[in-house]
Amino acid sequence: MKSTSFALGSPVSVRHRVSAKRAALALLSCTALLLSACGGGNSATPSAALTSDPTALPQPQPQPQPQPQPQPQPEPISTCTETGAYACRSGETEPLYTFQWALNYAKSFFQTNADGGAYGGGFDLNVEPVHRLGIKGEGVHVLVIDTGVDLKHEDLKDNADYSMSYNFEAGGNDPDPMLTSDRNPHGTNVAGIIGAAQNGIGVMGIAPKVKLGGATLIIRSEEVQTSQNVIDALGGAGWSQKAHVINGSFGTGTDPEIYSIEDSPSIAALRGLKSLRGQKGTVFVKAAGNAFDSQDDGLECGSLQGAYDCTNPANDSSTLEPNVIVTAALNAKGQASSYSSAGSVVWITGLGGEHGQGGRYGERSGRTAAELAAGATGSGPTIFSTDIRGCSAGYSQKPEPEPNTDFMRGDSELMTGVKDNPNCDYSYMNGTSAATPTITGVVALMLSANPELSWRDVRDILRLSARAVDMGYERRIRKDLDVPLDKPYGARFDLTTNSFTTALGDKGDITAGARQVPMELGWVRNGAGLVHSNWYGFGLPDAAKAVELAQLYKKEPQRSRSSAQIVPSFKRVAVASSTSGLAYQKVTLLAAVSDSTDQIVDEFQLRLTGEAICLGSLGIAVESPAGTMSLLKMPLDHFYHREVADFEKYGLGSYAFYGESTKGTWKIYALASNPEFDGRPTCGAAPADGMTLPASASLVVEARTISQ
Amino acid sequence: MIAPTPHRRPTLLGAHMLHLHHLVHDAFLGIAAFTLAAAGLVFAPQAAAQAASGSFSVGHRLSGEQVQALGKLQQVEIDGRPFQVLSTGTAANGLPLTTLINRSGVIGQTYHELVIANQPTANVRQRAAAALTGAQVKYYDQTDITIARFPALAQAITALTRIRAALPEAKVGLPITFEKPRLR
Repeated sequence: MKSTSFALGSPVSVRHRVSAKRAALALLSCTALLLSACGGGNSATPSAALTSDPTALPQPQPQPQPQPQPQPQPEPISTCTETGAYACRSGETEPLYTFQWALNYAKSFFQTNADGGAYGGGFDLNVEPVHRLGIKGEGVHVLVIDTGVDLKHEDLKDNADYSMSYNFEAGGNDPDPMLTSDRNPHGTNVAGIIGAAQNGIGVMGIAPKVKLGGATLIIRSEEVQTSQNVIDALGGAGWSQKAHVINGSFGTGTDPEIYSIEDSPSIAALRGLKSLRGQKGTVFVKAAGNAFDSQDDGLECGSLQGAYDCTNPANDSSTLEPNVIVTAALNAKGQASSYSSAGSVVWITGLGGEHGQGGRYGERSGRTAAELAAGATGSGPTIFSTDIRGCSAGYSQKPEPEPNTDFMRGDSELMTGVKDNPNCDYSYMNGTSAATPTITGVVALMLSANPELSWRDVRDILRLSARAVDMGYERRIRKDLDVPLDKPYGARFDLTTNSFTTALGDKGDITAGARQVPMELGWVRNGAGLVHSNWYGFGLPDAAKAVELAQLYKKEPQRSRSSAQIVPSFKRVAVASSTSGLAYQKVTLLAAVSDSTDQIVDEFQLRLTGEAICLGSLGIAVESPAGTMSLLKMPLDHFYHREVADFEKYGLGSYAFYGESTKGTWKIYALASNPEFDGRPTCGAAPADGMTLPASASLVVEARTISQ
Repeated sequence: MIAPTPHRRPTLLGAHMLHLHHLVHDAFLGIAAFTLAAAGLVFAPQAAAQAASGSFSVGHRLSGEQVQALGKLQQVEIDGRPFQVLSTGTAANGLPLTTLINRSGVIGQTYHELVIANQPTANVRQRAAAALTGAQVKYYDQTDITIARFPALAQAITALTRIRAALPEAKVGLPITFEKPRLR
């Protein structure tokens, strides 16, 4: 253990504002609790999520600081002034709306074609009250950085903005994916989720009056992704500077990246976004990843596949930036989508569904009646949207689309004799790629209601409007596998045997010398009274609440926070080795760092540099001065498969401490598992005895707290 | 449209229960056709055969034995980190390109682009102009970023040192891409 005593990060020049900011935070915190208790306005939105199972909450943490104070509820939104054929109406005007359960679960096709293995949660985004007030994203520009967007699509053309678009492969401002070598429909699907028009045909976007642009950057032509192109797309070029919101349904994360602005054009560009949109900051929403149960492409979890997320959204270093809204995915059961990557940098949850493989529209779980009776769960619907036009391109194409359902082939008929998708112009998609644009759509509604919101306001309002879902999930046992697991997600993990025990763990297990630790802590209430989860971030937003809050900020602009945010330098807080006590198969206190400043935490970050240490066998947990524990990295993760032994400035972060005071002692723990897994060493530096680090091994730990 | 994932574990809900994102990603993996050899690059002699087979894509990790089999490669140091140069030349898009191997055996690439961040572009113009001689420079005035693309990697490495000296408060780097983003 190494103990140091100094402030994490550089002094901040705005300390005199801390008291006022803290008071504001207290008000917002209380708002969050009130709204959570009230739930959404939609009958399909379970409103008692936070209170329905109070025992599922962890034991109360130390006294919250500051104390929440009474907070007035936002006033109801004003009356609708929209005009036109679809004025003040929601998706009931669109023929495929019944499949858009993410907008209205209760009225959807899936509500009345229930399969117990696929449904049960009933959550949606509660957007209809917003639409009925005529707030549909008008005036907001959204850029989709992806595979391109078919802006000539019948459901996108009315919202197309070619002056906010670029095709990096073909050149010019038409982002049509058919002009690229990939011809990939991904971006067209993403765009429709955000802003498919309300026009009496097809589907409807969450914000059907936004202006949409596309950038063909995430395509297989490796020569497209130069630093210059990355920066051009992320607010550098004039066309991308038109965007108020950018959707990023993509990411990296196979190998540990160097987290520094000098080594990443993305980090440089993302920080630059804060100065755009009239200094209010372009909002960037990013997918967390789809690797929870991955066995693919260098992200393998081995024999423990599905028991926990052996990857980490933070492995994409851009997710560490506070102005990146990292989005997880929820399914129609109201549980995390089986693939949704989990980690402490997740901020929010959107709706992504499952796999959509069964039935005509992806509505079946794939389970038999007997299996369902035995409690099995399975697949379920995904997110319906626009596709590249025609039956010879896109996800929906003949003769064998994937998934190969009637709808995807264009053959389905909800009404006899009327084909739902006769021209294969529509399809469905899952993934955090699909969940992210559901959040982007909600952000567009917020900005339409109040264009003056800063990126920090947007992020806070998403949090304040969010509902905690799937309470007690750490006690749940996964039942969607052919061979169901027999231990809950929150079971203790034995660092010696690299296996789960039957006992449920909690944060108290993470202490120096311990040999069993939980791999999932569930919803954690922090010292500021906020609840955060590695799976769900701050939860699933309620669009109606979010727009009400956006309007409240308009009425009371003093609530707004500046777009500027100081990112201090990292400070070295520990150099660990075998002589300092770091070893495999146990928990080691790496550092106890005293911070003398008294500011409000936005994000806590670490950076690790290691030599001759099996990164795949090294977990990290951090305990704040308020006593909140957060798991930043699993003690056994996919880096074992990559046999990573040397790493430099590998970044981690956590929002679990958001709103707490920086003041006090921060404890950083190493949760090191046995560096042999599935019958082989997890890296070339694994010791023969499985415990003792080689003499050449060292671990440099840097830390910083980014304040609000 | 997209081929099923062949190596999906059967423990999931049947081999047919595939994620679309996995499928999309597999399409990406099917791009072994990306060959640096076809892009007008000059390889170390022992590397030419592998380059033709497409095994030098960004993010691919070579074992120690595979690196050794490539023979003696040119060594460069960027920001204190050692790399071996696998190839250098001009990419199909006409941009200068160098392919490198880091000490972990992972293949990366750089278009010789220096990124200068956290620095008003006016300062870069005034105080670092000499160091940018010969580079194609793009200034991003609103986000305080400058990108300078050099014809040769060595020029970029030299400029990195000079710009840091000229603009000590700036964040200056020569990013190397070791992984391309995937759809999610």
